[in-house]
Amino acid sequence: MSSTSKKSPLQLLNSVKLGDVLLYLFLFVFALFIVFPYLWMFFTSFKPSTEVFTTDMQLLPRHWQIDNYLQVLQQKSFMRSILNSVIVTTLGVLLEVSIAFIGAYAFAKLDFWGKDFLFLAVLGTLMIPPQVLMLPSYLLVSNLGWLDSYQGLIIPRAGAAFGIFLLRQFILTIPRDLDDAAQVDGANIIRRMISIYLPICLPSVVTVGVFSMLGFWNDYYWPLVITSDSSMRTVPLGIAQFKSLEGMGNWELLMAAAVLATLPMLIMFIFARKTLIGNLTAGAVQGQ
Amino acid sequence: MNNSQKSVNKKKLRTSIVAYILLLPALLIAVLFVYYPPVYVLRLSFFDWDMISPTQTFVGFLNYIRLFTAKSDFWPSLFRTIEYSIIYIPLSMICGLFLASLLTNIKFLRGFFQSVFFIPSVTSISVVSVVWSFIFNPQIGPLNQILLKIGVPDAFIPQWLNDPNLALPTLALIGVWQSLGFITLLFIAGLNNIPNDYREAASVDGASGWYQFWKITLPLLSPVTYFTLFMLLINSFRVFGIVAIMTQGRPMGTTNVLLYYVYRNAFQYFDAGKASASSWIIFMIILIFMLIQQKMGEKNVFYQ
Repeated sequence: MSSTSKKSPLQLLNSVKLGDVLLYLFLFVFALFIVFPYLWMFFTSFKPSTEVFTTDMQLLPRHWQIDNYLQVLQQKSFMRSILNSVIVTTLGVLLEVSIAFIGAYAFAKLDFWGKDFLFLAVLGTLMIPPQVLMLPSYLLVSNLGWLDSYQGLIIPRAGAAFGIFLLRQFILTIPRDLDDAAQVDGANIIRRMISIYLPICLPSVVTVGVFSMLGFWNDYYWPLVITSDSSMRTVPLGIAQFKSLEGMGNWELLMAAAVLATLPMLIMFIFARKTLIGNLTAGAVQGQ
Repeated sequence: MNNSQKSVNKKKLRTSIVAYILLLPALLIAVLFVYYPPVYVLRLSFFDWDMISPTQTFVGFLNYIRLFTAKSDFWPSLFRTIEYSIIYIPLSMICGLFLASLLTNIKFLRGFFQSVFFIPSVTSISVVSVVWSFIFNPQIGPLNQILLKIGVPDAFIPQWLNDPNLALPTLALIGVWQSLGFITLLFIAGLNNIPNDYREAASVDGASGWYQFWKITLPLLSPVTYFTLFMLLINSFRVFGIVAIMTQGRPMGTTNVLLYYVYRNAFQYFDAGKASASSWIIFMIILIFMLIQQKMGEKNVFYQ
């Protein structure tokens, strides 16, 4: 035991295998390659335009300036798209999580006619790729009078099948005793769901919320299809529009806008990466 | 007896009503926005309609015939999609499996690398498209600047998205970049499911690392491999945002993939019949892939 601690530095160095060093070196270089677009986006967003339009490429800005952000934030249409995204994401997550929670409770704890069939019907929605159905979905939303509206941006995308699946798995593991005891005490079903199940399920509910948030904030295709009014655009559409409007012009502004669009999800990912990654593989491996 | 049966039924009826009320929002959205659209699109595919006029004319299979005839862009689009998948799928799988086997061999910083590789998956496709447009920009993009700096002659500097031969492979590379984190996760899960005993036994028998990989790891990994393969195949048929933002089908239609073709028919040419017929075909293709994937999943339960 004590002999290991008395190794000389040279001996310690020898015990580190060359293979491991190469392995880590490779992984770091590869990781750098993966995040390079983010680094480029971030540093460009602080460059003056003279440093963007140059053949003398440099990653770091020579003169850091926050001016690009101020300019982007002064653009009314982009600010509007941020506001829209915040509204759509907040309401969308609340709606999807609520639908998932009450649905999951019903599937996990209630015994009713047609349960298996309805469960399959809900899970089956995961099999149908929404992008393929853009035309009929558009026409449907148009008939409902929901084009260019928050309900049109939110409700059709709050189906919650994945959330129902995930939460049901969790609620199934909760013993009935608590529920029964509360029922004897006269608590109705809504009270029981909120005061007994919700606190126990909270980590899973948060996971469902995280997935939902990613979906609503990042989605490009659905807002593209059902909005035409620029005041109803969400951030991903705003960015795409920005690119086509400004053309080759203002890359540094575009990058600042892209940073603003990415940052909320990146911060959330840093905090939620364990639950996100864990549940994603679990869900996928089970074949959804 | 009869009475107790009745009371049980009555209780079940009450529970059922409660359950249906709780499930109503989920089912309503499922029926209205997921199950109804394919039916609707199937119906529309037999009509001629410009999406504005109140009259829809029944034309039978004419829209399908129009799709499959020589002049139509449907075949080229299908071809582009397959071309995309030929680059995107093998590259994603090889890189994903490679990274996964590296990551299962390390203990320190494993979670860190997993998370870093996963970042592109939590980024909006519109941000991805915008940033990569900049990176691949032939004049001021950093990629070509680096190529110039390391001494690549001017004549060999690629034009990336402006080059008809390079545009689609470039998009496929971006696709690989975005999917890689998730593929790696899947393979890590698969590799962790392989019991160590197998490899240990093989090592004792003197099998080389390479031999172990081909004869033990790969066969035992096959459920994950098939699952991943079909997932990537489905992904290839869903490529849309990156094309809509980065190339709009250019140059010379070389990036006009299927879903973008549908989008244009519907929202730029207002040809509802043609858009519906092609939607329906893509829908069936993806559904068949999904069913195969599902069957594979049932047959190849993970080795415990």
